[in-house]
Amino acid sequence: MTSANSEAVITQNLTKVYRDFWGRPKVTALDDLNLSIHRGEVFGLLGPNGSGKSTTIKLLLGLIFPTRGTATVLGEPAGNSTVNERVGFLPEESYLYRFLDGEETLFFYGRLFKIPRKELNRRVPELLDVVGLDAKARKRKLREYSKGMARRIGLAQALINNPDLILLDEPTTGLDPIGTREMKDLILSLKKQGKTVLLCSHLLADVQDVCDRITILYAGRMQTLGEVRDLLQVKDVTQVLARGLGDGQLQELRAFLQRLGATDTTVTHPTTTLEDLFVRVVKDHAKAAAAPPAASTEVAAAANP
Amino acid sequence: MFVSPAAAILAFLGLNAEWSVCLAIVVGGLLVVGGADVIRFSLKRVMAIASVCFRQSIRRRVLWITPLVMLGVIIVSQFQRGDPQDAIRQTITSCLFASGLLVLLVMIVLASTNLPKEIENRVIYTVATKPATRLEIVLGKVIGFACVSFWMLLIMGVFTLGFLNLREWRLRQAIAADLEAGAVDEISRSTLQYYQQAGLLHARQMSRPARIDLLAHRPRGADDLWVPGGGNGLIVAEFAITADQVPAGSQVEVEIDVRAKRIYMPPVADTQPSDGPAAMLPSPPRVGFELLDEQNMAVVNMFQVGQPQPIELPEVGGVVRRRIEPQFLELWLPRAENPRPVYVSLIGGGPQHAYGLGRGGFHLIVDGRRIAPVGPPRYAGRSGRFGEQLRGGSGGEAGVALFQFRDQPVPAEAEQVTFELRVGLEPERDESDPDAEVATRIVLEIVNRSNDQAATVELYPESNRSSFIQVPAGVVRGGDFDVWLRMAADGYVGLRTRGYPPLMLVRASQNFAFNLLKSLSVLWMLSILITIIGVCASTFLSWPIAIVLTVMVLIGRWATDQIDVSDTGRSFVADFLGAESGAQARAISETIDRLGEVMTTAARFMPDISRFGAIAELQSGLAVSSQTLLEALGVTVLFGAPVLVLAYVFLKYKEVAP
Repeated sequence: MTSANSEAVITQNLTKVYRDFWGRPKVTALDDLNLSIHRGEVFGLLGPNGSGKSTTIKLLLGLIFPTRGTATVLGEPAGNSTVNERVGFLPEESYLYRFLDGEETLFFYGRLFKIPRKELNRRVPELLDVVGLDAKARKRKLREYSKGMARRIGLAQALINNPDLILLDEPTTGLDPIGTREMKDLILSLKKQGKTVLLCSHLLADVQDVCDRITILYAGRMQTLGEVRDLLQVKDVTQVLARGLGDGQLQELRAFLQRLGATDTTVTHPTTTLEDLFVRVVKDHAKAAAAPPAASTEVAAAANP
Repeated sequence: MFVSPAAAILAFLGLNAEWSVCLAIVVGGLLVVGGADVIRFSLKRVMAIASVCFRQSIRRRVLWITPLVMLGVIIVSQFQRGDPQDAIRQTITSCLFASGLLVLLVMIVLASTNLPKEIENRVIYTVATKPATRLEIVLGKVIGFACVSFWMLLIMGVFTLGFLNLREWRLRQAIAADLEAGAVDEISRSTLQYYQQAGLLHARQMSRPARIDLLAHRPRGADDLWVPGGGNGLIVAEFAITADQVPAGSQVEVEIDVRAKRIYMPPVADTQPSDGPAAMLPSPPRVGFELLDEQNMAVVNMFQVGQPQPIELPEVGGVVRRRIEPQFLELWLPRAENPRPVYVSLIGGGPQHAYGLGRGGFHLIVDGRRIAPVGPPRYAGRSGRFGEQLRGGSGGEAGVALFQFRDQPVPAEAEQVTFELRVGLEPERDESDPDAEVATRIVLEIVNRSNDQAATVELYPESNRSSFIQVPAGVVRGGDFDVWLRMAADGYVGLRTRGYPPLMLVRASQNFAFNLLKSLSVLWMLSILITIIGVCASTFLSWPIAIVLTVMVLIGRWATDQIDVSDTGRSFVADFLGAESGAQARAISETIDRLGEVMTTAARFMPDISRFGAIAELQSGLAVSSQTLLEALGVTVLFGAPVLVLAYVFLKYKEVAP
């Protein structure tokens, strides 16, 4: 049994029913959700559209109130403004003041946490570096930002208070593969720092890469819960990875496995993910472009003495 | 009789229902509902939200509207015509009206739309999920918009000051040229000379008369106070009585000890009427009385009280005693929870008589208990176009107005002091040439009660315009003096006895810019109140409905006062259905009356925007009084505070995620 102190989030029978103008029940967005998220883990909240993911996050942040049940965040009732001191939130789209520039945005949210000016002068540029917004972007109004830049500044505002719990709603939406990779790296680095991350997404590959545990919601109800590794493991299939085998040896291996009684045997070369390939190609290209032009001059000089 | 403290508190709360409700909302909202948020309150967070709100408005180019408004004012001023006084007055009105309208419209739109739009575009997600409490969010928005209105008014104020100074400079140049060329008539000369010396942009601080009485003739002693007959004069007594002091079934009577005398109208000019040969006019003195409300409007007229005919008196007068029917009492007496002064007025009939009060004076008698009036009765004139009418004339028929200045501050060092006179003139026209200009002579006599110094001034004022009269300072020294005014021409002079008195002494002069600043402060307070109402409405309504509600709350009380919905059922039935009896007519009448009561009750809980009198004093060249500022502040705080707390409570329990 887990104690409340070791849990970042606990929900008990958390239910949200949306009602019409006359107070009659219209939609049950969330139905009896019982959930515990451990401190220091990356937890994924999965589900198709309308499954109750965003409703859960809104309830945990106090943006809406439960119809039934309770939610506790970092040991205090959800939505309590004191607990918000230790929570960071990145909404599914960057709902920020579009007339502010990047720096002004972070200074504004920093002031809501009563972070001293001196500290903000240090932390704001640091955070902008972390999320990869360059000096030019910092002075541009948010209405001029691309979707990816808006996600980055949104993430920066979520981290301005160095929170213990970070709620990320579709964090990789609108990001290019490099940005997606950086976001995932950042999530893992937050985990390393001991932060708890609640990730809400329907991009399953992203969740698989970073989450320790996940739950899948459907029609407002929790369908499954567990560690990603356990849930994804196919118990009756064995995978062997080896390097340095030729075609003849692969034939032999296949024959050997059949002799052991294995069925549906596949012996082939593994493939990388498309994301890995994209990242590698782009990074290699960027590296080449950044190489000092003097090198090519030297080669030319050597060829023509 | 012993009254327990609890009963006393309950009685006080009952009498001050509006304030009690305000207090309950503020205390209940902040301490009961929002105790935790009050403890966590941070001004730093409030200012962060306010600064974003302000920046949002500025970056949306809200201030860009101000040059357009300025342009509008400049264009309108080109079409304004009239004498210098009118020109400056119209320009002040245009500038302040434009500033007020601009700020009010912008504030209504900004305040009513901000929160719903933040909820709609979900920016509120990133603010409400921070440690900012809903109290801080509401307060931050109000402060942010208050800053926007402050800057708008500051810009408009600077423009107004500059534009007015430019116009004033040009008008003074023209006045100087006219005076030098002698192209000025006698009527305007003294006023124009005053403008040339003191300028047209005034901020005068005035000494006001303690009371104004309109009498049939100048008294020869303290008891020699008379009003003219023929319905031209009234004697009015104030009573402090409420409906709860008159139990159901009580017998209420009015008792007035009336004196009457015949007055002789000599055929030649004579300022002193005599009591003359009374026998030449045979009709006996006759009087009636009316019951007036706090506005001195007749609630029950003389034909409804006592008997349909005026009451005949013995030749020297006598005691009039008449019962007031219960249905009239119901109309006349205010309720205990809303006490107001009420008045009884005596009207004398027959132009050949004058009427005064005997030793008994006025009394109300409730079941044998005598209730005396509050203070001495006032001698008044019949209501006319420009206020109370004082009869003029070259002979004894001319009445006099007495302005009593008591313990008034007066300029200490000056050799000459200035009076401002503003009267309405209703001269008798020449029937053969009704369009002919009639110069009306007004005679003022100022008598110092301390040192018996006196000065007499004759002038020819323009109707309903300020005239400035300079007299030696000795006649007002000590601040205890009387001014007698009479019109030495046929017709009537109208004297407003409510609001700004028709005759005041210029005590000191303030800087006009400072006066303008005070006027703009009143507008600013109004804009803050609008912002609070707008933000509150937007916490539970969509923005278009919030705008409508804000406007309704803002003008609700004023509109209810204007249409005066009380007791309109009977007249509605009579006017539109043509019937006053019958069950159907009664049902309609009662329904309308009940609706009127509901509206009146609801209006009591709406802000009284007539308290934000920003323009009237400035336009009249008077220094904006501290009372005006305090009244505006009072309404802003006492209405704004509970509405602000309500906005917080509504937002606290609002699901901000759509």
